[in-house]
Amino acid sequence: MRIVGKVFSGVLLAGLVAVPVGAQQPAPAPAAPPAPTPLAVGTMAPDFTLPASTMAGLSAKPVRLGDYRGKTVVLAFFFRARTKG
Amino acid sequence: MDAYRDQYAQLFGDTSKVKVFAISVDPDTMQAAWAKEKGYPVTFLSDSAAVVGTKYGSIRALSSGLVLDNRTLFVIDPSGKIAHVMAPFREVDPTAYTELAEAVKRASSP
Repeated sequence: MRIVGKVFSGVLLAGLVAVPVGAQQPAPAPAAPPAPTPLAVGTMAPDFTLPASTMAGLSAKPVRLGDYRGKTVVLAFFFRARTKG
Repeated sequence: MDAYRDQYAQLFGDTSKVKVFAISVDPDTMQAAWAKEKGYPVTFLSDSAAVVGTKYGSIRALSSGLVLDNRTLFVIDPSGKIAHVMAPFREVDPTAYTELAEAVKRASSP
């Protein structure tokens, strides 16, 4: 009976020690969102129509990329207005 | 954007053959105010729903839920094909502008 009591106490103690240790394990870091993959060279540029503006103000008509076929177009995506670059 | 303004002729050459669009998720009113204030000679496009940035693979989502474009630059040739990609466009690196000018010249050559 005494042996059984010691074993029981040992198991109980191990359990008490194991729980806090397990609780202290750091949670896995959330996975970073996958980086976007830009369209590749050789791909046909997808057409779009967007509101436009220049230093003269808002444009009356939106810009459709397809209307510039026959010209070289530079499409420069940037973070936000009033940021560098 | 300052570099595009300050080096426009060197970067883009014949303006009758080359069109430059700067695109972000900002409202068009904000882009117009910025263009006027700084005298930027490019046309701004407002992709406020981030649809075009997503199609081109330039949009990224921040943990705050905000979406922004990366600095990604595409040179599209007169046939409508993507001829050159700079991802990211290194706006503080002078060699990035040399690379851009060469890509525009190459794409515009018959």
